[in-house]
Amino acid sequence: MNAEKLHDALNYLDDSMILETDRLRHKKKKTVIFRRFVSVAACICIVATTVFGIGHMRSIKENSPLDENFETSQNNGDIPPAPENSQSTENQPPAPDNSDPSYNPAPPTDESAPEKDPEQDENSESAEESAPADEWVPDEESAPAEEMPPLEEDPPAEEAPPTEDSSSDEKDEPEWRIHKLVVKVTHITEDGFKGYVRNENNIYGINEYVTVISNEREKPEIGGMVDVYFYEYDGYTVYAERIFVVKE
Amino acid sequence: MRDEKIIDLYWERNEQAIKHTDEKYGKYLSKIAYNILADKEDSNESVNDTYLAAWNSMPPQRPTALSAYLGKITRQISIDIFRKRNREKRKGSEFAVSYDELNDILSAGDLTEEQVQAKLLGEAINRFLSDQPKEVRNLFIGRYYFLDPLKEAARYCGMSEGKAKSILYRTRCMLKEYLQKEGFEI
Repeated sequence: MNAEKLHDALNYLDDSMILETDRLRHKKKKTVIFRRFVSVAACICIVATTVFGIGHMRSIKENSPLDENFETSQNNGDIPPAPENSQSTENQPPAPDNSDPSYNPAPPTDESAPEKDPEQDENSESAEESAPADEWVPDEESAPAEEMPPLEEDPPAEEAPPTEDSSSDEKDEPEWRIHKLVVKVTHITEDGFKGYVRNENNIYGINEYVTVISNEREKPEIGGMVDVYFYEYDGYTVYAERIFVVKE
Repeated sequence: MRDEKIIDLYWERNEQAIKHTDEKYGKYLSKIAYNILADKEDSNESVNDTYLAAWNSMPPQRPTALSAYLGKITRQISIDIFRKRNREKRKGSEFAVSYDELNDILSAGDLTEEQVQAKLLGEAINRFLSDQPKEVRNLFIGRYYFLDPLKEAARYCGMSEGKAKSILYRTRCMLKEYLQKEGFEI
């Protein structure tokens, strides 16, 4: 007997055994193809997820939190549209001077200022942390912590700038909503400027005198109009996130 | 088309039977032939001879498993082509010529006996493989009937090449012992 005869003998194998092995040959091939497909699909998913994640992170970085919040508040209709240029300086009252006896901005006094609430302080601290630190630096002299108006519950004093509507809004609305003021500039200071409010808003009344603290490089001109976007105010002091000088 | 209908076409002597056979089993048969001959032209020749053999054998044959039936024909034809090719390669050698002449004397007139012997041997191998685990049986048939490469057989049997090699070696030894017990001269 030799190998040739054995090979010839193998032609007499049962069909059932041959078919069983043949099925296995084809079945395993399909399985391998499926495994390859799964591995390729997994790789594609990983790559796609990575690319999408990077793109998403870039879009988050490009859209600053200020812009996002501003867009949100605009969508809610909380901020009135920017005043038109019709608010010319001719129609406005003359800018008061500090020496002017008629000028009485009625800054908040210690008596009118509510007592400090530790919880509120914590909130304000946490809020400061969430705000971009590079944008502005509060001036301790112009805005002492003791003069911080109440953020919740306690109604503001009569001299306090927020109106009744604004206090009710503050209860319902998030603390760090972006606000917009249109300010006519009367004085330029080292860290900002002063001027009159020219638009309707939830915090200040029209023609109220405010001190705007901003570290924006672009300084407005006296008598010019400035759009001020801010998160926080302290009495009459506005800590501006950004200012836009309206050029007529 | 189902196997039964293809067989019916053979029985009806309809030439469409060969066309449908080629469509359904052409690649399968070519693979078997190529594993033996390792030559594309010879493989095609073997497959075409298979169709002719099937045409001539049906009727009277009516196989229950057409693929296995055609595969056996292809395998035998391919082995015959392989042997013939090797004989032609040895033509220049006087030893080869004398070998063929003596071989003809030994096998002359014993074709039927050889077939019977081969059938008996095949039945013995059948019994041996039936007693083997499924994994071993599939590996053995894949390697020695379908003549698949060891690597490929190991893959579709779900084992490493080294393990497949050792299993095949042990199985060959066990088959030798079994055939000796059955009275075959090895």
